[in-house]
Amino acid sequence: MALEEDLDLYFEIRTDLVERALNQFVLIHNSELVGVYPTLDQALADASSKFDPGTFLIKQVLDPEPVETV
Amino acid sequence: MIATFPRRLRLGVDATAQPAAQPEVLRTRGAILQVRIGLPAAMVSGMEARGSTPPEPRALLAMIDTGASITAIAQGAAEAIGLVQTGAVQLGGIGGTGVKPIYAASLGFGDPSISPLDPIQIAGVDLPSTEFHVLIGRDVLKYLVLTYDGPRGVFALVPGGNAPPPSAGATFVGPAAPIAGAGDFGSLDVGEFPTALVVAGVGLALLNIFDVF
Repeated sequence: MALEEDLDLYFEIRTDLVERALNQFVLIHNSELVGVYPTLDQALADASSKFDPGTFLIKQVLDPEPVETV
Repeated sequence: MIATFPRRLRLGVDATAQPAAQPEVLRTRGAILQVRIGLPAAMVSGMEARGSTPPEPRALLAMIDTGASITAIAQGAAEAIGLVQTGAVQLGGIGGTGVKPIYAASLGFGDPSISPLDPIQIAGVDLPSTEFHVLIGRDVLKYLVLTYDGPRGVFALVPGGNAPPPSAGATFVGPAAPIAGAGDFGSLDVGEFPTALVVAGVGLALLNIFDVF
């Protein structure tokens, strides 16, 4: 699964991302870091202009990683 | 049956409502309102630029859940709408913790004067209820003021004073409506988007914001 592999990459480089991109949004596609964006809107716009839906990961760099509740 | 009302129509308390019926409806059903969910505008633009036709937003029923830190949508509804998964999140709850999909979306309310949240990231979950398909979590409520009037059986959702997305003065007031046909998530045209759903034959009170405050 592409998203799982993209997520694996995120956690591989997470320490570095926390240092230089905390609270920003990263775009990962095909296990490659495509870009870092200040807003989700900008990340979505760039991702959607380049890649097919469902083939990319957008994740906010947060520390610690949140555990949400429902 | 879906009834469409103009904004700020003052209906007052329905005189035919049976005493204490509505508070019990609100208690058992919860604070349910209609929302409109679709792809975020940024994603729509990108897809159109690449020659794709993005799916239309859909009207869904949502329950306000102050126990949820993040807004969530039933997995089946997310797939039916055509939301795009953009990630995953660790999600905990009474049933334990697990990794759930995250979808990029836009979230609008029945009252068009409340600006949509666009974009927003919502979690895909298995919801046990068929009466609603969305849980409005605290990530959305942080922009709004929720008033829950248990004795009267009504609730109100209005923008907060320093809320960036919703516009000042916008209001949504919802009855504790037992919703018919809630298992369907059929789409509605924007022009007929109702401020509330009312089931015929059930005495419900629909209050204007000025009746509440």
